[in-house]
Amino acid sequence: MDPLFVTALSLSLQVALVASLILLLLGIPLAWTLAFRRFPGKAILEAIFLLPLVLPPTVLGFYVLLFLGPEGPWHKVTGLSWAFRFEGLVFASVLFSLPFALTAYREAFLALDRNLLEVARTLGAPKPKVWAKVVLPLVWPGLLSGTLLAFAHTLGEFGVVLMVGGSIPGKTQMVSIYIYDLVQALRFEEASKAALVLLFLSLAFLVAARTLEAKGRAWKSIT
Amino acid sequence: MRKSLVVLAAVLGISAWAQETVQVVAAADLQYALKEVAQAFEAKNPAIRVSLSFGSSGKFYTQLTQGLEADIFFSAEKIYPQLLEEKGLAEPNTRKPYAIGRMVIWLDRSLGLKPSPEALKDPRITRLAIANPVHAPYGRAAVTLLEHLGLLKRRPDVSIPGLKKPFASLSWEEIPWEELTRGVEAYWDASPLRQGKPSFEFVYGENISHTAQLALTATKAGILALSLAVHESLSKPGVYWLSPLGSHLTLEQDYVILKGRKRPEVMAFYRFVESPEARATFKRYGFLLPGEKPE
Repeated sequence: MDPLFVTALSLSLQVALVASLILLLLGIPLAWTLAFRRFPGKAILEAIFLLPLVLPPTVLGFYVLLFLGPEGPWHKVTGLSWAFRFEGLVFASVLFSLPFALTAYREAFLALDRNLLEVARTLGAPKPKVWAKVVLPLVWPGLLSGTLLAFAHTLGEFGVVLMVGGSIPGKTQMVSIYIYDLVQALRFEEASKAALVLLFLSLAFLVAARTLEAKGRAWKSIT
Repeated sequence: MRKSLVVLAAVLGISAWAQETVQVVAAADLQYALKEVAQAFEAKNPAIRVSLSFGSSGKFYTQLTQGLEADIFFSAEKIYPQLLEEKGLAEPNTRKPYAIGRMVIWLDRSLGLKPSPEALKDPRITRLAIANPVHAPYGRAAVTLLEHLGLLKRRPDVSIPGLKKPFASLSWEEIPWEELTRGVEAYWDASPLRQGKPSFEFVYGENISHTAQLALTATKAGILALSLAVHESLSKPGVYWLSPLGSHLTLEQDYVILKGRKRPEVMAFYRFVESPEARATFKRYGFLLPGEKPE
């Protein structure tokens, strides 16, 4: 196999892994808030989080680039230059995969039987214990399925990462861009091989996510 | 399970192995030639790896001003390295010509046409692939070639803000390409070859390599780089007409080392580009060498 393909796939997996871990940490409190809290401007906030679903990737990528670029606010405030780098790819990936994770997490939380939480609390269980013994065992299939979806989506994203990362082999050339570059180089055979790998990976992740979702539903019906 | 973890670790960790790497961003017309040059260089310098990235020169220029990190930039036109130099983003005194690009009119063999500018008047050619002139030098050269051949005429009524001279009187070098973002059609007329109707519409490639792909898979005709047209993926399915120098914007191709990147391994590759071996490779792909006269 072409070593550049391995490098590109490896980079994609790394970006997707880091981004989905960040999404897990960020998404749980966010999804919880969106599921159970009421506050003014909630609808607007929800719309903003869902925006990457409908926004053209080039638009999102363009704004991320402006934000992270040498004259952008991120550089001004932190002194860090993240455009065309791994960090920038992760930053963008967290943004464009957020709706996938968030939606799945929120569904998982909404499916929770609130009575169980009340019971646990009236029995005097402290908050961390309620989470460890009641919430997590019930929602983990949903959390994992959302994270898998975000992971798979990051793995395949093209437009945003092309804008934010460009195509530097080993540094910012993610696997979708590697395939694009092969097509541009008229190397259709290699492109179709690489595309096939991505197709099967995506399919595997989706099957896993759906299976977990079904499992979550089955658990709910038992309780 | 164990085994799959090891494989996963290998895949995740593989980009971590360190080797001296020269990061090169290059115009897409170098797709084949520079790859060969880099391979020859790596064969002689096994400790150094040359990482190549191809795209339109204008796009790379923009990305380089926006923080893209690279060691050497091979442009398809000298204006971009020059601008980098003026902005203080290039190492002083490292901008040099390495080749002069040649351009062809490429036609799909299935059309059965004799390769010539006249062939573009064939009614079956309804779409022509050219690189996007806004940021790709080959696109600009394509427009000037079509103008030279009488297949495009400047619209006399075009006014461009901030420009002192009328657009119609500008020389090729003076045309502010970056300002022409509305597409060639807004500034030039396809000359009335067919009773007042434009003879073809343009399909723009993101860079010259993408343009070749469009010509090959969609339009059956395009204005491409000779360095791509000689490659078997285009020479087998197509025929081409080589446009003479002087019939279009000259593609004087410069390369430059970027600011703060003058490391020994970078210098080694920079110098190798001038070696007889590298020059022979460029020549084989149809480039003229600096200082050389076309035969």
